[in-house]
Amino acid sequence: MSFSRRDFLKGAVVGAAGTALTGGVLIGGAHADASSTDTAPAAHDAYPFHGPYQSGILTPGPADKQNYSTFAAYDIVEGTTKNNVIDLMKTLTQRARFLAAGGTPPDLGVSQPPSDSDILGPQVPADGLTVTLGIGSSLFDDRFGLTAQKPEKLTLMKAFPNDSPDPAWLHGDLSLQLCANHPDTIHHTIRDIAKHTRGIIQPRWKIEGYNSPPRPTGTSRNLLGFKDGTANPTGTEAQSLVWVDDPAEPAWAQGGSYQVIRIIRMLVEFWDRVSINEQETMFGRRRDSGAPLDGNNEFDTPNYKADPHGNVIPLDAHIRLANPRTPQTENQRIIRRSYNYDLGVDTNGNIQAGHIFVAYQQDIQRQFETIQSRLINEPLIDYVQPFGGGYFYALPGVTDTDDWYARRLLT
Amino acid sequence: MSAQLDWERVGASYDSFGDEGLAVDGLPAGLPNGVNDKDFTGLHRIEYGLYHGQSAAQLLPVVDRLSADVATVQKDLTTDDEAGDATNLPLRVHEILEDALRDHLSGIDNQGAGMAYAETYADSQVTRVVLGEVAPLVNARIPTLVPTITAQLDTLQAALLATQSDGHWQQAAAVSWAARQRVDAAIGAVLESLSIEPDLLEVPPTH
Repeated sequence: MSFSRRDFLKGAVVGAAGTALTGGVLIGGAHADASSTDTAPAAHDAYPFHGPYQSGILTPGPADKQNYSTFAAYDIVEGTTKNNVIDLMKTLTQRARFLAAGGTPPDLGVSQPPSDSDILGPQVPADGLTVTLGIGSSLFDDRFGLTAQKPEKLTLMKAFPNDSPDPAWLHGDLSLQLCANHPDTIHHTIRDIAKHTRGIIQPRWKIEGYNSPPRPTGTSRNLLGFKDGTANPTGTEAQSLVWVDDPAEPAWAQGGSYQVIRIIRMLVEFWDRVSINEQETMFGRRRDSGAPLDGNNEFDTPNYKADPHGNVIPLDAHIRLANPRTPQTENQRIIRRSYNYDLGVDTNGNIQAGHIFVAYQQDIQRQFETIQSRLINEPLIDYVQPFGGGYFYALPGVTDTDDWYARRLLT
Repeated sequence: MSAQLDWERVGASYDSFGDEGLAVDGLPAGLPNGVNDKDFTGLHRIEYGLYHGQSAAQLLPVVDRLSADVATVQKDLTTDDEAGDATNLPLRVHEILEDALRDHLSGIDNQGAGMAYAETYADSQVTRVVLGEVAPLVNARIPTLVPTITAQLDTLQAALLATQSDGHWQQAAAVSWAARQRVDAAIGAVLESLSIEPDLLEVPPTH
């Protein structure tokens, strides 16, 4: 059952739906928003590999992202030539193209080890796999003669004042985002890619992520218990914020997107000892429903103009700092496509778990860095430790079977 | 260490010398009392003692025992127990470096010396020898495979030598991340090629 606040106000909703809604009270200051959907994210068996843009960014979009993922960074090993890199990109394209469509792995006969691991059975299903390849600023150093082709805004991820950077978890020549409907598909994919590329690239770091189902409805929750991604722009608004189309950027880079990955530990034991009032004040939202503190439903739009002193939603609340919702800050918004992660325990017996923050935008400095700078020293920093990740440039799409990753950069 | 490297070059892999080989080269993992177990003997026992401050008095009996055990291996080398089935030779070609990756480069057999790269280099040398012995058979089936493997062994050896400092092997922990990745890439690539070889030799050339 799906209905919108607007329909309710027009009196269009009757019966059981109307009864459910009459329990809610509009708090002054909140505006009714576009329809909120109660349906779970739609899972697809397959997403297109070819196109002007890579899949895994808006195809599917954050609200429908696949439930399992891995994020991995790789280094190109010493001694690799530019021609080797071209071969690498062609190999990665072939593997991603095959695995994203699914199919029958070739039978190499009895004279070799098998071509496939059979993790997914003898017929490889696509299982909703998207492969999203990014390149780091280090690729544009003096190794391959690509310095003049670097995207304008691509740098190494800087350390923000509240970060706890761990070199073992940071940066890389390449980033690989794999998303799929089941975790064995993720494993199968990264294992296959490694088998075909061992001699040229070696892993730097890798972390698996999962997406929780709606609990009970709406946007999925992060491991602090809050719905995460409610205010993500959608539709054409999202496209206008994500895809690089600035003529100042190199021609080969058009249709790409800047990718920010931040691996953020959440101190969940500490968090669970904090009062609900304090938690909600730090975020600016109700934890149970996800509604902004001046609203009633998750997708209500906060009205900061009506609350200039932050009496309802504090001035240093996370959502208010991240998106002040003024005309000036509109084009600073990002698309977040994040996942939860769980590693083991730390040396004190506390759970090592948290957030793989993933953001896409057309300008890291105008968008992500502006937002993250506003968040410096926000109250939430006591409970989170960003320690890994990096800045990467998600390549433009592979347009057809003659095209391959980064062809226009490398030729 | 030169004794350890000589042992590597003998091509003892996959338990090829049986219990007698274990007396020479066994590891403490799996023994009830670990490093203090009376059955932890041989080259790694000496390595452990040297890197954990044990005295000459403590270690000389271990050395004497090692000499005796090596002599046993030598004496029994031509028996079926040790030399094994000749048809295992094709398997040996890729196993030597698979063992190097699994046991040396992983650090799992390090008892203090940290000589994983030196040991792996010795393993690459003996791999060349065994490859030479099966080359005629491989060439009759896939003519390009031996040249490919040979070139990849060259790449591996160059990568291993690049971990040295001033011409000396370093402790594995002292080697830079980039140099480590270069070795991992090179051994990965040659193992992929070597993996073709055992199955290949199961079938006649005209299959």
